Amino acid sequence: MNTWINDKHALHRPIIVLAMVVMIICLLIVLTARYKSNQTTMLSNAQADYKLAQEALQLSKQAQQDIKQYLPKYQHLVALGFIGGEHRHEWLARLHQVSTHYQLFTVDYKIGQQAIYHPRLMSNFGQYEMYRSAMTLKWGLLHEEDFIHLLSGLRENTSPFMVRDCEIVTASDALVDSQTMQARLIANCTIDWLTMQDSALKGNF
Amino acid sequence: MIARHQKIIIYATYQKLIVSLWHGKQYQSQQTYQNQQVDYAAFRDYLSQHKKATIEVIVDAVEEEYQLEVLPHVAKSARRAMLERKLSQFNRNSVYKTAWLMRQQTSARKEDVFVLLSLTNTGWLQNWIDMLLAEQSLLVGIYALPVLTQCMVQQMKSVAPQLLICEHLASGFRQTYFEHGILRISRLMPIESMPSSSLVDCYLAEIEKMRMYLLSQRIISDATILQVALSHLKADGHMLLTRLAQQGLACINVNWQTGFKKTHSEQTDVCQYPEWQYMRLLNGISQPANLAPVEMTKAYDLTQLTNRIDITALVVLLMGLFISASLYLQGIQQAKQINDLTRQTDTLAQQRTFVINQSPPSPLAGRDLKAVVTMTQMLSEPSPITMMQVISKVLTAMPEVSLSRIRWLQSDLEKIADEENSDFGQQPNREDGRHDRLLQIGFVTVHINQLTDDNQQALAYVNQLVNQLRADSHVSAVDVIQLPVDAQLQTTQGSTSDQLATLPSSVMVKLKITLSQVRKEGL
Repeated sequence: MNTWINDKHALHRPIIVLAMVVMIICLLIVLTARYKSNQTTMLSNAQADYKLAQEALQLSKQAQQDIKQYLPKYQHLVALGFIGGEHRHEWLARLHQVSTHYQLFTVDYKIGQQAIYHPRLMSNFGQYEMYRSAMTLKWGLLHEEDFIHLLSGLRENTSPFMVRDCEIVTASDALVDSQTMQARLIANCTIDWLTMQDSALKGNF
Repeated sequence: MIARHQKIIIYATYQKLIVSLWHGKQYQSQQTYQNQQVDYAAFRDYLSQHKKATIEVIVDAVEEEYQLEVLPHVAKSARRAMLERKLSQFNRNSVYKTAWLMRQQTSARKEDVFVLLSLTNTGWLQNWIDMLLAEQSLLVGIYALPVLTQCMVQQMKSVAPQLLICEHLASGFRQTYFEHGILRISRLMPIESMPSSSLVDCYLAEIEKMRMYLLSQRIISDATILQVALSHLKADGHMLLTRLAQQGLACINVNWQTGFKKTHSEQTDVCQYPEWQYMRLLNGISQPANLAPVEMTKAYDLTQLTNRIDITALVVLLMGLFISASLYLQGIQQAKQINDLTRQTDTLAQQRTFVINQSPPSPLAGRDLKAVVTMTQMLSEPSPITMMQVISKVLTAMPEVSLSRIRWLQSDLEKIADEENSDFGQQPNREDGRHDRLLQIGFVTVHINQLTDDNQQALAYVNQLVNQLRADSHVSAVDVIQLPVDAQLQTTQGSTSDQLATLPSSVMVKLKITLSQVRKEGL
């Protein structure tokens, strides 16, 4: 019996050693696994940061290129009055200038109330919002080129506009008198006078 | 740890113990202890000096009992129970008994052939074993000498069907009979010292006794050709062989040392003894049939268990360290990658700062600038001028056709009528036929002049006009909305009192022209 007790005692040491080894190893594995897990997370974050930095650099280069390419055109638009508030007096003055320059017949106009406009497929202009004022122009033409002169002249001297609908009809009682020139054709156009406004920059233009 | 590799092999006879010390496979030394009180103390001293050495005992005893048993092949637990039952029936009183599986029959019944073996009188052995147990020596096992002879026979390339091995050992003259390589019986005859010539007669007499015993037990018959193998005999071998041949027995001289490679430490006279050969054999084979009961080998089993636990702990430690080191190294590698990425990210940030600083000052971000300018260009492009140029080009070549009216409009409806206004929907809608792009549509009214007869000529002009318009690359479709009316298909009314009716000199034609879309984007 004593031998058996001694035998059991003899097993105590290796079992205790085995248990301690298992515990220490488990602890070591847990600690190193946690360390590796933390490193993995940090590596993922670093990779994400690197990717973001790459994208940011790419965007900055693209922005730089866009600025170089589009800034002069934008400044031209600003000069034409496209960006900022609607300046009707200036616009009408330019209409008069074009009409006078090309010796056109009288141009009748009617400008409607300005309203926010959301064009299809391109509704996002960043911080800008687009406005339009529906406008009707009616004027007599001696020749078809008078029509082109007015639209081209306005296009060059005023802010951009979108021609929506135009009708040119032959004047039924048109006569060409060598003394007094009368219109042979009557043009009637509906256009949208467009402007863009930025609430942050509003009033700076 | 080195001491555990030490092995003591004891060759026990009634007269003495031959104790050899081995270090792994290397023979170290040999001691002999007589079966007397004086040597008991010396043996205990020897044991106390080699506490951690494992001990194996070869018993070369006179009183042995053998029985061949053919048992059915069963599972391990059932086999153990069956063998315990058989052993208790075989020899109830002996402490030292065992069953040894010799072979498995390949017949359909699949029976196992066992040799049951026991030591019947072990009083002289028990003294030595008690000393081993008292010293808590690591007793591995106790083996009967014929079992080792069986191992030697198994190592022989060819074995006669009926083989009798005769050896002159320290204990006496031992004859061991094998039938088809399986141990059947072994017999030890103590021999007093006598001259060589007398030994031959003695050997012959003992061999004849053995043969008669085998005949009486019907293990062999008169017709059986018994082959006798002689080993380590101390008589004149040549004379013995001649005498045996005269008795009709086939003889061979066996040298067990054949096949053993001697080491430097084994070039001694002691190594020539047959006992030493058996000790060496035992050191080189796995455990044969063990006569010792489990209680005697418990210390060794416990040590083995302790060793296995220690080895398990070591393996766990090494594996754990390997896994931990692997994880740690991976973490270190990742840390290096993190540092590299951080440095590269900083470099990219510096490059970005440089690019931003190098950019011209702008009131808006580049993306917004592009959006504004692109939008403006898209708005400015469509105008009636293209439509007018297309029509003008065609009509210049056809002086008979004069233009009365043009209406140009933008619409997302392909089938828009002239009377409808041009206001288009804010969002494209497939169900009501709206396009996601705006179409430039023109409604053109022309008059065809200088007609001479009915309107067949007018139709020809219309076809020419339509074909020329369709040939223009800017035009995608031309539809005739209104044709000149054929006079022959109409009802004509009047009277002869009236002036002669005349056909009209011009007819009106109305067309719908759709221009090709040159832009992908729409408003």
